[in-house]
Amino acid sequence: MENPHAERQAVLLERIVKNTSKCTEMILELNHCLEEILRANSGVKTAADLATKYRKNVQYNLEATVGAVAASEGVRLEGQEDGSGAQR
Amino acid sequence: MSGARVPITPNPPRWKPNSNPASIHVPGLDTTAPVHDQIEQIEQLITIKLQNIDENFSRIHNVLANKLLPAVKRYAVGTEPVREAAKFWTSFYEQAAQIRIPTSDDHSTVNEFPSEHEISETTSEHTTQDMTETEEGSEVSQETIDDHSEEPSTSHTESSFHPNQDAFSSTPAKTRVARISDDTMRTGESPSWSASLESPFVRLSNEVKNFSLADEGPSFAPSTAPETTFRPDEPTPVSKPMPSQQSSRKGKNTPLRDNLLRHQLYSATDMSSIATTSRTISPLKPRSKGKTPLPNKVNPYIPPGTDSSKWSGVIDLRDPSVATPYRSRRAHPSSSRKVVATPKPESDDDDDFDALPPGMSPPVMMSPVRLSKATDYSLLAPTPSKNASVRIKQAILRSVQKDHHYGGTHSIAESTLSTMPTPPSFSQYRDHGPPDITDSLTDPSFDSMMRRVGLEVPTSSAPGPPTIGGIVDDSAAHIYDDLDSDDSLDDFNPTAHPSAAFLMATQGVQASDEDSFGSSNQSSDSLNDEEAHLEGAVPVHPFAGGIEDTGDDDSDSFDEYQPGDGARTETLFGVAPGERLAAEQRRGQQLRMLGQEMLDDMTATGAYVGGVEESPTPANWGGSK
Repeated sequence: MENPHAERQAVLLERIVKNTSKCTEMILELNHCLEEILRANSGVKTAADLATKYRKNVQYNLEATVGAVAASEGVRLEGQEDGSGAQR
Repeated sequence: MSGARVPITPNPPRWKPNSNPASIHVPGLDTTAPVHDQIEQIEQLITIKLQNIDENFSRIHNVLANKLLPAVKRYAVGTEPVREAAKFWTSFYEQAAQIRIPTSDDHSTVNEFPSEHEISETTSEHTTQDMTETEEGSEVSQETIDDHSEEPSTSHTESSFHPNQDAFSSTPAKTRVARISDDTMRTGESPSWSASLESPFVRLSNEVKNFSLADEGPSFAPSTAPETTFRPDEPTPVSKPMPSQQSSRKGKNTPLRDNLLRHQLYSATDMSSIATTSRTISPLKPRSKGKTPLPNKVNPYIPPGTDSSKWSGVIDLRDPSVATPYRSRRAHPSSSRKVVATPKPESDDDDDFDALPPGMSPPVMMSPVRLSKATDYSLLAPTPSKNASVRIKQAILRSVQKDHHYGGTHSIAESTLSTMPTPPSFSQYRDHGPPDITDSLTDPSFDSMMRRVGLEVPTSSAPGPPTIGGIVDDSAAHIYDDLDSDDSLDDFNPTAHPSAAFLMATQGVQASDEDSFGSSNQSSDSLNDEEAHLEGAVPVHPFAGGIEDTGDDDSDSFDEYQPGDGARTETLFGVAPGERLAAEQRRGQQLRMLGQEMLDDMTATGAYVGGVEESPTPANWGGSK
């Protein structure tokens, strides 16, 4: 007994398979492209890391110097304050 | 962005097989309808579903092809300036910190190593991926490696930028390489796949190294071997004429002497055992044979005294002496006797050599015997391609020069004599020779006599035979041949190779000399043949006829001629150099006076004389030891 539905479904399945294979291909290509981009951009990442490191270092040193200056100034200020306080 | 787009609907719950068919609920199915209608409806529902799926897939494909991919490519292009800027900043920071930061750009150079390093450090998951990918193909593996390497490089960069870790990252590639082993050791898995990963570049480099080593190995080894073997075998003609030549001549090993000995050995080998020849190897044979002039074992370019293993392999081809390594030996053997007897001949040889026209190779007689053996020899010891190429070069050069030199002379000689170019085997000519040449020979014999009288007096007891007329010479020559084969041959080792002209001139004398020298059996055959040839077909250069075809042969023939000089030197044996020179001059003049054929031969011999003295041996040889 011939089932018209089965026939139609078979055709549909075939199409689906074809489409899926196409999609797979496309995805692979996309992956390839992305990989290349990532590789190409690794330099950017490196640069970014370097910049970040640099900024951190600068920040740290600035803070350290600022702290030191502040401390020294604070000491001076304290001394001045003390002096002024004493005067007052 | 995401806000503008349609929110993605959450996936419907996963379909799970229902244990009880009766409980299956098909949405949209009219359960009240008759069974057949229900089945029909289910079929339609399935079809619709399939259509939906198909549609979805096609849409996916469309989106990928028309939107995502272009977008990605646009992104790649768009980030180009960013990458350039990043490069600048990276280099900027590198210089600022005075470090080298490995980047993905280094893939080509660092590729393998970072990959391994990376992999070793990364988790097993990564390693498995690498494994699979490497299996797929080198290209794929490369990519994966690159991808992975990015992370390590970045990690390195981070660490490297840190002031404390400069040393760590300063030499990224090497450190990595060095660490690779450690890493591999740490991660048990790595070794197995590491080999596969390494394969493309590392393997290649290793192969190259091995190849270079292997290449050097054979070239050196053979050269050393022959030399060592040589000495014991080398017979000193003076001390021992014996064919066996196993006698101990080691006692006196001056470099020059060694050279001479070698040369002599070569000549001796022709007659004597083939085995010795195979070992010592005469350059001539291979040349005559064809493009493989030198056996690997004997390295003509290595000065005898120097260690072959230390040979740089660089040969200055401009040096004429170097150009003809074997000839040098050849020339020397003849001189060897002289050296032993009288130290002066060496200096003379050198001077003569200078006298030779610069590119001119001393002519050498080729002994038919040698030719035949040459084939064997060539088979036994194929020369390395290097040497072969050098030889070919030299041969070509020589052939050109030779053409200048010989072409005219020989042609004239042949025309005058009306003799066909002599085939390599001279034995044929013995018969023919005497009748035709007797007249012409008389002169040369006479000349030779004159020469000998001047030169040989000390060594040879009886110049008398040579005094006999040319006809006598013929007879004498025949006798001589016979005698030579037995007794005199050994003595003539040096003479075995003498140039045809010289032989012609000296034939008569040789007979007399035979007795006095009569030590070496080895060269006897060659001498006999040559002499016979000289007598019969003298005008024709033995080699010109037989061997002319190949440039190599020509060169060989030249070499052979040197021995001729040696023969002359033999005659000179013990004679003061001044006398010899005078004799030579005399001879040369007389020769010119004689018929063209003789003149040609003589000129050739003269060239040879120069050649003999010119000894091709590298300057080092004499001085080295």
